[in-house]
Amino acid sequence: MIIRTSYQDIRPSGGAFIIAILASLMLLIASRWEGLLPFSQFLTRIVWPIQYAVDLPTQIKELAAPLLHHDDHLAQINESLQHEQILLQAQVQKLRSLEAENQELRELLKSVSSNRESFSEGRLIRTSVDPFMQQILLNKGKAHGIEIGQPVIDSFGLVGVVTGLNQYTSQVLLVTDPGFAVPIQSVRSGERAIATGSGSGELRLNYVPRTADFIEGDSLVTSGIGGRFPVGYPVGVITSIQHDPSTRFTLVGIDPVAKLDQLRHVLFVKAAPVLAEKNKEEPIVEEPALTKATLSSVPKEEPAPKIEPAVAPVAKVELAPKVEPVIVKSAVKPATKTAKAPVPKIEPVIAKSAVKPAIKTEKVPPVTKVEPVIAKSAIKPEIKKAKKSSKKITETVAISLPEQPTAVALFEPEEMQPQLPEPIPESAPEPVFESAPVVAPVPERVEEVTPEVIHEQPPVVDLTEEAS
Amino acid sequence: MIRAFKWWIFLAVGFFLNAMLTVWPVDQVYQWYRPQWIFMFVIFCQILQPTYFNPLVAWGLGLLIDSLLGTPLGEYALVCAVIAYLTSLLRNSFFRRPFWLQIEKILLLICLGQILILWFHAFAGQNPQTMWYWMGSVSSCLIWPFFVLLFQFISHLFKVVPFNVGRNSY
Repeated sequence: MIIRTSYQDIRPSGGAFIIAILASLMLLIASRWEGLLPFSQFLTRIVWPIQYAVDLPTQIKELAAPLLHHDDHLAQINESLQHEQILLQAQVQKLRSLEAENQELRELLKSVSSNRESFSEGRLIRTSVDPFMQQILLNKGKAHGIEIGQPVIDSFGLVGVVTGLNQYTSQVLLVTDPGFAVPIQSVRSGERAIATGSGSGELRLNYVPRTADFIEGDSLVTSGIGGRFPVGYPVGVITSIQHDPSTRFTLVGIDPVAKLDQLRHVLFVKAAPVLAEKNKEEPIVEEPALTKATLSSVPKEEPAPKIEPAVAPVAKVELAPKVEPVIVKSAVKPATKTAKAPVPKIEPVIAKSAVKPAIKTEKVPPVTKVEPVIAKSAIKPEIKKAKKSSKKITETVAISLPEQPTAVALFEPEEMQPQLPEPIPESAPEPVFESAPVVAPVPERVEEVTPEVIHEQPPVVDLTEEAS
Repeated sequence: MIRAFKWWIFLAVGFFLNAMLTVWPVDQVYQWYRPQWIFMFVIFCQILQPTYFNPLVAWGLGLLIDSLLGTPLGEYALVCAVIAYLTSLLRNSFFRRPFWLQIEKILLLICLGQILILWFHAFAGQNPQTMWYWMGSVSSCLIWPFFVLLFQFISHLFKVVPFNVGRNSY
């Protein structure tokens, strides 16, 4: 067979060839560059009619399916579906109870529920032409709200992740592709690892230590680490474990639970990020304005920490539960104002390094002096710890004093002013600990210095004696 | 002008058909035997109309195939450009040659294309462990005569070729 064309001695276009080669190399080098995305999407729009034409017979077949089937066949399908529905309903009931139990446990742990995914259905248009490229094309795209990086599941488990996006189609990298990796966890042992595709229809765990607790038949689910995949979706079952004496690692083979060869309908999973949810519940407010409204919302008195007098100096860092960050920040400033008001001079007691950091941080000037017996460094670590734990909350430092009224957590300036007859100059050389509360950022947990820790601290110094 | 327009229409229709054949869903077993339609089309066009078709046009077709298959942009484009250029070098040897000699050259060109694709896959860590990979080249050679018949018929429909069929043409 010959091509009917003219014999023309046309010189090969070497210039066009060089330009094409250079352009290809540039594209390949810049394939990870995000700036190339619009160009890529433009190309996919051009080839979209081809994909549509390829998918058209399937669509027609689906539309015509009810017309082609006989009544007997439909009745048979209906019966089997009803049977399946009953089974599924029973399973759903069990799952509901488990979900409720799970929710209850999460509430006990005061953690945010992670079951906040939304789903959208997709249908397979075609699988990859190349047997070595484990990719599929689905009929939902950018126009349907699909995003790159969304996990895709079927009714059995994890299928893959969206890697390419068109206006009306999306490309999904299957779990068995060599470029795919997912953090997994064993249901039985809780052992975590990263599963990667092998390119041959299965997954594997690389670089698993020999001591890792994996056995054949273990079900593996997504661990949720990394935030890409939601927690708890089945990935596969361990089918083989090979111990190679020449290496320190074990090679684990996994059979994917998703029916990758029989895919027809799949679900796009859109997970709400847990961190974002937490931030929504506790918005971080920086430097809020001090208003009367915020002041009035401050609890007037916090329950004073109960401290036994016989115990050696104990620093208690207590949180005001559910105190909004707005309130806490504003509550510090009045204390500063109050300090300028007349304060009765009782006995000059100097609180050294133990109280200094908190006072400096919150700009609390010298106030009423008392007779505290303070371990020098007993409070400091706790305060530092509290600062690290949260920036948007204040802490109340209450020092136990033998035969001395217990410190109060928070106060309002209006109430304190009449009781403070004598002013203290602002230029006091050393910050003085007050019997009234010292207001400082409050951490989320009550943490006490354990007796062991206290014993390790320097000996108690009676500052009253030192002062005298 | 009209002739050029007809040529571009023919190119678009031919590419559409070949792209459809490239991505048409077939059973996993038969994937290995799928002919390399796009490479065949590039060779055919380069032999048919070297005045309008050159490696740069082949590069554009390859780019669309990249987009269609989801391969990194530039992969098929580069391979198509190479095949087009080599075909333009070998074009004169396609005339007055027996049928099997044509097949030989087609096999050479398509195998070269598959080798290049294989290298790209190897870079990405997708290395085939089977010789079935080369069945695409074999099936392409076997189907080449029918392919030429079909697309020559289509080119006649668009009146692309017969204008300058001279005495040296076969």
